[in-house]
Amino acid sequence: MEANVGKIFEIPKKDLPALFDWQRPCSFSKTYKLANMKEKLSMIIFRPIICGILGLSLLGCQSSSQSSSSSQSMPTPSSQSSSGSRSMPTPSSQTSSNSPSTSSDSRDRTPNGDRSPGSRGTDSAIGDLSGDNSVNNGVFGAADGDYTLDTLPNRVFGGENRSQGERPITSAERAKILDERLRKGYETFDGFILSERERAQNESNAAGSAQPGGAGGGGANRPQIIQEPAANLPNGQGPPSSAVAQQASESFPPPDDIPSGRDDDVVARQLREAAMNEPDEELREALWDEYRNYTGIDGGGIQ
Amino acid sequence: MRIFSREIYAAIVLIFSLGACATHTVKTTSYTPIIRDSQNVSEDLLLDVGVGIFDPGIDELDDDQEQLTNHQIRVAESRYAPYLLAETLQRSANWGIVRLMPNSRSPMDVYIDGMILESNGESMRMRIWVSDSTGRQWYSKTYDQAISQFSYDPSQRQQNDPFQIIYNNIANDLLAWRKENLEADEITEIRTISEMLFARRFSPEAFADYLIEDRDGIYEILSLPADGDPILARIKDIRERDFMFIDTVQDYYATYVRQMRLPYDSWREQSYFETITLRELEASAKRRFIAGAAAVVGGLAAATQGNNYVTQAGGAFGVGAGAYLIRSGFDKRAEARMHMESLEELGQSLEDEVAPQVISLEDRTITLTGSVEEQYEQWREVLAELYSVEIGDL
Repeated sequence: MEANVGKIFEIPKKDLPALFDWQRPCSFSKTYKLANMKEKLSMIIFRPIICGILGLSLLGCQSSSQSSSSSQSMPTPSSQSSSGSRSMPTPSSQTSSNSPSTSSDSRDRTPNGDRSPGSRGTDSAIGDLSGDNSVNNGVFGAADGDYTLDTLPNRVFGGENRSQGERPITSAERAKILDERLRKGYETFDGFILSERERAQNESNAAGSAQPGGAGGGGANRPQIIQEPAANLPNGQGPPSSAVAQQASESFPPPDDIPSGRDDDVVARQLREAAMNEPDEELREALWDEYRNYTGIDGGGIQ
Repeated sequence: MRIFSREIYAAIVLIFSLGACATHTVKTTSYTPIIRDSQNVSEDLLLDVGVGIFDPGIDELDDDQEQLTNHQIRVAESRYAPYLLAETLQRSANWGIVRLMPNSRSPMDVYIDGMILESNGESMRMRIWVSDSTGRQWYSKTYDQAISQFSYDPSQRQQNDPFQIIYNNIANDLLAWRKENLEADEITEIRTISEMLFARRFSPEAFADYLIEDRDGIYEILSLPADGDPILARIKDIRERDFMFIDTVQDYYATYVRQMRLPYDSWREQSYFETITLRELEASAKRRFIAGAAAVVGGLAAATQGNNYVTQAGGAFGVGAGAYLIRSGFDKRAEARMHMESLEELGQSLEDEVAPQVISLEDRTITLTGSVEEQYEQWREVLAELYSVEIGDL
């Protein structure tokens, strides 16, 4: 008993952490009363403090996760929200401006792609963006509000939530926005369809080359046209059959200065195809010159 | 004299019966080339042609054809044949762009539809309907061709499809009809209506009033948009994209046709011999049944009603010979059944190969069409807004 009394305030090092552990019973309880008081003290003082710290920590975590919730923007027109409530069905996650369950991925972004400075720490999934949706400095100009890129055009078009004293958008500006949306849609579409077409053509060529004799190029094992003899044509105006056969089947490679054409738009693609299929040398060269002019390749011009 | 006349009567019946059973198949060995229009037609007057997926014609099969027709192969052919037709028309250089159409949403100047009525290695028969964008039906015609073994010669096969003449004939008829029935202003009208129909598909509010459709479903132009109409300019941009989409589907079909060609040709060549053998065996069996039955009837008549020994003996011999013929007819029919089973096995083998390709083709086409239509829907909405904006300016 004496030995125990002398060791009342001698706390072994291994028990030190236990002093700060508010859940464990206190180790220096010489008497039941002292231990009971300590337990009550910890319940009254320490637990609220720790709970407070924990709560603040959790709040801090929440705000930081909000900061990171603003992620990738969808620059294509398909990502822009429609004026109505119908959700846009493209794979690039379009959002509807008045849909309350919009994904947070496309929210909380200014037109510049940054997180809006006026964000008030609300849950982005709630979509509480109504208060600060102001439009100024032109159609796509910088804005003070925390509207999103997705919701901007619709609200602009619909004239909703416009702050007092702001200039209403003109028809020309509105048409310009819509034309821009169409243009971006074309770009997206062209990229998608051309890549898909390239893939399909590669598969087609692979399927052709798998045939005996290698029919991939479309030459052999493919229905060929036998031209009617010129004598059978009215007035004998038909070209020689050999020339016609050449016209029908031959493809002429592009000149050395012509690039691969992977980035060609529709017009350039048509020019390229026309030039590659043109048997007349002069016309072919003229078509290639036109292609050079159109695509901006140096050295263009009919020679 | 009475007996003699009866025997003559029986012989005549027998001869006519056998004669009625004889079949003749006319096979084509000459090649019909494609006729190219001798006149240099301006590009503005070239009509674009859309070829639709053919009707497999499964509902049109009679009982005999039903036994010999594999439905999956017929479905595969309903995508194969129109592709060859489109390719033939394109290579004839008599038309603008010629495409196998994934659906009928994209208006084309001329539209060709078809139904396969018969297809085996030996013969092919199909019905073709041609119309234009105004809704006018040009004509419908049935084409058929029975080919010889020469068409499967490797040297020939390397150049043409065995039934290429059918496609050439269709192309030549199409050109002839156009030259006989369409003037330049009518061609221009067809092309304009195609464009207006496409425009109306994307912006009905802006282009609804330019066309009128009569009770027969024929479109006429009421008025035209102004030169430089901004909405029409945008529609033209979109139509270029629609052609790109159709071109992409065309590549899908090209892959499909190339994958199918080898097993399909092999099947057709084997089916050619099996079909000929089967038809000969069935005809032979039929002839034997009829001749045997006639011999039995005549023999019985002679045996029972003959008034001398020779006639009765001859009648008994005739009955025996008739019975032998009938039995040999059954043998021929059993042999024919074996060839029919062989044809079914060949069909099953090809079906196993092409059915997944058909499914894959359909899947890809539907997926791409869906994606494209979604984009189109967005453009429709933008165009509607643009229309309301620009109409508000007026």
